[in-house]
Amino acid sequence: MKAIGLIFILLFELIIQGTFFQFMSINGYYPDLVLITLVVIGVFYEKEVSWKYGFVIGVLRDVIFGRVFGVYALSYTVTIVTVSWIGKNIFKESFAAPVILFPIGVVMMHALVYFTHYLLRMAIPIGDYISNFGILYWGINLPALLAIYTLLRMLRHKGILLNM
Amino acid sequence: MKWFGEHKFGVLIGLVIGMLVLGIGMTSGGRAHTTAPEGLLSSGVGSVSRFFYYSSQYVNNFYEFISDLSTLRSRNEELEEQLGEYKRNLTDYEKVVQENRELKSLLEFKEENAQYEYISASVVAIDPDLGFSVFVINRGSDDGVGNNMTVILKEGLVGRVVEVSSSTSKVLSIIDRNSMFNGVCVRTRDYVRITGDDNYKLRGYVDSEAEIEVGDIITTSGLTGNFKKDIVVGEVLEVQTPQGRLEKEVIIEPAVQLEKINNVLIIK
Repeated sequence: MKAIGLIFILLFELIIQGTFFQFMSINGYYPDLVLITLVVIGVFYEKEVSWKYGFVIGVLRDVIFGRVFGVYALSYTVTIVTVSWIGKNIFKESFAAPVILFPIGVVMMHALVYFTHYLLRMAIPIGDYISNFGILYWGINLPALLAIYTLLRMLRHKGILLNM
Repeated sequence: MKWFGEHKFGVLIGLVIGMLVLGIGMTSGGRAHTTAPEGLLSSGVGSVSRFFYYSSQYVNNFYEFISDLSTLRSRNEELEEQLGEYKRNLTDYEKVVQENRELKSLLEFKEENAQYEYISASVVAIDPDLGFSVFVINRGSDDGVGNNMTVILKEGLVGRVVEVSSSTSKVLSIIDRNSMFNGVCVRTRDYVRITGDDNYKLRGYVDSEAEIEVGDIITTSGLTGNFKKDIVVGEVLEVQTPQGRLEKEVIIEPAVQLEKINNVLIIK
């Protein structure tokens, strides 16, 4: 049940990103809630559990928005497994873990998406793509990351949504 | 067996990744139709998305209205002045048009378009990364929508349907970089190869000897691609002749303001 609750939260975030944030954004930038939540899940859970969340939300995104099935499922799955692995082996779930792992997650996830699109000859020029990740992107996403991490950590300690 | 037991997770992830790569390979050329479970999922999410989309739009409009309140008066005067100018221009335009041969072609165009059947649809979601390059509408195969159908507004061309489920469809708009089609300059009849570009503009390529100018109107040629003939694409903003190129490049302002569309028409 807790897993389904988390999937619904991720799906809700995906819908919000495709609707609400398209109108309410700062110069076109808005928090990447799905990736942030996946990174936090990756910090909390071991890779044997966390990969399922990346896979399911990736498949949902591919079905709802994607033109090629599997691009986001692959990127999210590989990213969350990597985040879980690094988090477990290096950071041991310290408070700094999400702050350090989020940029790794962003780079990894978008590199995979870009690389897949490049292979499919659907990629935009790499300079244009990288320009989307300026100061404003990090200025919006890092506070959102801390807020979501704190919220999910609190829910986890209360035994809601996430298992200890 | 012992090896599989020790590397169970690695094998599982390897299989999942392999399956997804296979999925990417199989759908890389695009899919005319989604599977039934995907259609069901898209329909369910589509109705929730629609609620959020319209709520967000309402909130956004209200916010913009409040923000603009202080400058509303001066803006109103400015707009009234513009309106007067537009009315004068419109009167001149109508006189010229009545005496011009283009009226004949316009009428022919209208008559030609009257043959088409249209399906009206509303936008329910936009791709979070690509914006209006790809968007979802609330009509699918149950409503008669088919793959590659032309999507328009009364102002002009919007894009084409690239994927259809039972009650929703995905539309690839003309501003997407992967959109490529042929257009024609109404004045000179020069053919233009058109593709999407940044900032909601289009980029076209024409023969170096083409006499295309700023302000020329471009319509679909109907010769290649999936679009019906004579649908307005946009107006030429800029004509460039890059050094060492055998073609001219033109920047085209789309006739449709894609970032503001809510409802569209699909030509059956």
